[in-house]
Amino acid sequence: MIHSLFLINSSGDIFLEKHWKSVVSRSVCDYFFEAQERATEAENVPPVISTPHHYLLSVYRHKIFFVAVIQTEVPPLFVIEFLHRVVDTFQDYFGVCSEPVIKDNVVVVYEVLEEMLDNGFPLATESNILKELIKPPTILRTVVNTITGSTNVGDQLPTGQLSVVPWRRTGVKYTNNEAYFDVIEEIDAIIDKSGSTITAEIQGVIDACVKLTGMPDLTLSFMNPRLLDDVSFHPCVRFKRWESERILSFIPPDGNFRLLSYHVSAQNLVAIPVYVKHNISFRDSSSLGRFEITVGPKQTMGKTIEGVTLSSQMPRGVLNMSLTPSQGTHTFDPVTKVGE
Amino acid sequence: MILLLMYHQRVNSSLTLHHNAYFIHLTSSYHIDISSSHITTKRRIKKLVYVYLVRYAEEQQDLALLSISTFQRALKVNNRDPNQLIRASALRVLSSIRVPIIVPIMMLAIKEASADLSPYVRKNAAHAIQKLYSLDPEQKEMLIEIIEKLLKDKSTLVAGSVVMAFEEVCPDRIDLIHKNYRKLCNLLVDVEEWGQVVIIHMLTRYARTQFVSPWKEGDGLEDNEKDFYDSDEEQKEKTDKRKKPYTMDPDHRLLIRNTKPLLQSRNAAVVMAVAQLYWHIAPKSEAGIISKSLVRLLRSNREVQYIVLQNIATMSIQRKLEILTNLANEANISTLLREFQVPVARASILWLIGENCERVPKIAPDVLRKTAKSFTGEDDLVKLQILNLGAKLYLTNSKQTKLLTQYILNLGKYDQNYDIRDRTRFIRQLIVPNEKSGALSKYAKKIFLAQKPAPLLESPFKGRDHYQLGTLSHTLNTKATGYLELSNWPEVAPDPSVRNVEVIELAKEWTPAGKAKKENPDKKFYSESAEEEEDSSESSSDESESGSESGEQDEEGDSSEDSSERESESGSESEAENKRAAKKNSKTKGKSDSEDVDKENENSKTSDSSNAESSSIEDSSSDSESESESESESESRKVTKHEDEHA
Repeated sequence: MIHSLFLINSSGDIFLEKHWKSVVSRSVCDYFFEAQERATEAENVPPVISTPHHYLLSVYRHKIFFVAVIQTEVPPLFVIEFLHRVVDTFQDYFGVCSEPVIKDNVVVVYEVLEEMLDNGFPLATESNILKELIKPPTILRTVVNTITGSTNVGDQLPTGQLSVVPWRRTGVKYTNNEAYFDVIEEIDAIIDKSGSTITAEIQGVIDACVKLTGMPDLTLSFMNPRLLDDVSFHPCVRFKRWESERILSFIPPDGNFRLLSYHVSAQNLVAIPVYVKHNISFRDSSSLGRFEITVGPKQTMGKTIEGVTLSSQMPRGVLNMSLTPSQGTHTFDPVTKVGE
Repeated sequence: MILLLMYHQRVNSSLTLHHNAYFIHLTSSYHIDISSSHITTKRRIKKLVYVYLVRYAEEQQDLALLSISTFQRALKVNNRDPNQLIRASALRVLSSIRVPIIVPIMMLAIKEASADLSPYVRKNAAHAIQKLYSLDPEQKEMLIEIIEKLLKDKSTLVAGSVVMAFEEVCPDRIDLIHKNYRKLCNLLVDVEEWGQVVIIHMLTRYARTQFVSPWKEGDGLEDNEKDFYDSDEEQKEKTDKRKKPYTMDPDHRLLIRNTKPLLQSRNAAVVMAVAQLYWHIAPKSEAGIISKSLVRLLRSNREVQYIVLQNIATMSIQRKLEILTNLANEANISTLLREFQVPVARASILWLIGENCERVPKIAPDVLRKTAKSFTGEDDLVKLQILNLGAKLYLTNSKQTKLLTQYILNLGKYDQNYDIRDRTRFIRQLIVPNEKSGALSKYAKKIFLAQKPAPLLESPFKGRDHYQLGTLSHTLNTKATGYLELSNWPEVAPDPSVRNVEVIELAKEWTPAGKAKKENPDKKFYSESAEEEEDSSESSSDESESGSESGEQDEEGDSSEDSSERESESGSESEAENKRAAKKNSKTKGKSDSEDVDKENENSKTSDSSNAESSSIEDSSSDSESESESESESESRKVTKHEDEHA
């Protein structure tokens, strides 16, 4: 399916290429550059470009274009999802996915790409499995490798690849059995002048870090599952039980993974833990205005709120802002006109 | 690199290091202390050698040939490597070497691997089939045999890969799928994501050739419109009648049911695949559930948005879905507009809103306002759509949008792009009342608000609809190489008994129905024998037992009046029947309600027979109903039994 992959940076250099079938010459990227020029911004390059003999599907992340070359009909979302998966894998391995990092770890990158696709068909894309096959480079490991001449490739066989539970390998052992679940939510809300919420919407994910021995089978239930409007799961979750009882039953992958992502719609208004009050006034003659914002905790159910950042986008007419917070630090960036 | 070289000597090749980017990178980053080198069979070196070989095999065939013996040794039956992973990777490399001379060796290796005990090796064999095929298409026949064998495999690991191979090598051999259809449907949730996408696409094509269409003829019209036009009497009849001459093949239903959970997958490709399956295969009223998932997809990154929106636009052209009501959620819109970055995405949202601006009266002006603010910064495509939206809104909602539209038109008048200026001038003349343009402005409303827009409003999204949703061809609006057409529904359903597998007891139950379905012409008024799945009898008074769990119900808006008019004739051909069945109102019901519905079916049957149906029904049909009722008793027992099984 995927014939080749080219990585192109924002200045238009192809700094990595990988071919899974026959070699495709770099000239095919010229069509991509053409489209790039025509687009006003990098984000506006169309993800699907057709050329006389190939099709170019690209994603743009971390200022790098990942351009896949395909020759026959394939669902475009398939390729795009796969490219995103590749980017996520690199991020998982190296911590940050950027051009210099990729260049430094070219060998690992090639190995990973080789494992992920077999002749252009996805073979192993679960990060657990990949990490077993090809250990991520750390400073310690690189040093050890250089000294002893051993390699990053695990000598162990990734049994996870071979079982019905492809996302978890067997024989996992920990002395402390722990599992952590992080609920990360993003709230989009419209709040009126008096601070009460008009409408709000929540996008959330539950990320988990599971360090348990053996093949644990976990059950997770929510206090109020009706709130969760629209959910998408990791493949490990058994859907039937969710359908019938709204209980998550799953054998977790080992390590970090995203368990589910959900959406709480505006109808199920949940109390937002902060309140915001604002006040804007302009003085007539002078070109000064006053903008007051008060943010405070509300209905936090006894938990404390940490790390509050207030960032406000000013209109273009604003030249400068002098900020006086009652607590904490402040900055104003005159270029983007963002006050924090 | 020394290690690499030493390994090469082992395979007896005299290589010179080629200077290319790959190797330079490799050499520069591979700092191995020479003193620690030893001849190694370490996997990493092996892998790197594999990669190198694959890359250069075509260009250096001798080198490749020399190395083959190593791989062969690993795979040989007698002396095979006990480690399944090594067997698998040996097979991988062997098949990746694109040298035509070794085709028979490859074939042999694949044959042996497909019988291997380890599912992982069999999976790799499936991958290898594709590689061999692309190398030498002459081997098709033998490869098909292997594919056939692998299709029978029960392991989930293998399923995805072999279907991929199937699609590539012999997509027309639908007959190979029959026996494995039910197994594939049931395995689907456990296959890994990429395999799911491929399997779903294949099953979509399969279903289109095998099952009768579940769509009714009058589906194009909106439900509310139909309600409005029907007289009260007819409406009452519709609600009374709870029968469906069309029954869905249980295999058809199986497919739809088993793919439903995949709408919750985290992988956008899977969700899209299920969405297009529902769109092309499911009864229209059931297809609505995909809209929620598609809207969820819109929240992710821009490339996904781009493609999903195109597909949504196509869907909306053909019929107005609840997608729009999902989309048109007030809080939603502002976030959506903010997030959509690709100009095509923005343009398509605007077009969608414009097409349906009557339906979203509160939101459309707001959207116009937002886009008016950003007008000058938008892409040309988007500007055009803003103009269109403005025009439509002006015509429908003049009070709120007049000033806005004029503002936009003013902006457009001085735009750099000729097209935009032209369009602006054109629109202005049409819609702003003016003595000179009096004649046309009367028609302005008609022109702009036409359902199927006149050429001047030709949207960029028309014309895609003859491509299967979710495919590359659809996105590009041209046929991509390898695009397989989605066939039309067959007139008569082909014999479903081909899908029966003797082993399972469940299958036996379905066999009679399969045969019964064939004997249409004579027995159409009698509920067919052994099973809840009867022949679809055309008479509207007939209440078919809901097919399996579908329990499809007539909903009010449906054209049961069409049906009553249409099928009063007796003795129609089975073909014509099935055709009408195909076009008829398919009952749609949530699966959980199917059991209740079945009971209702039983009960209302009696009541229906007593009602004179619609006026156009002849008496003969009422006779048939009483007959069908007598058989219904026996059926009802089977219905409940079957229901229990599926519960």
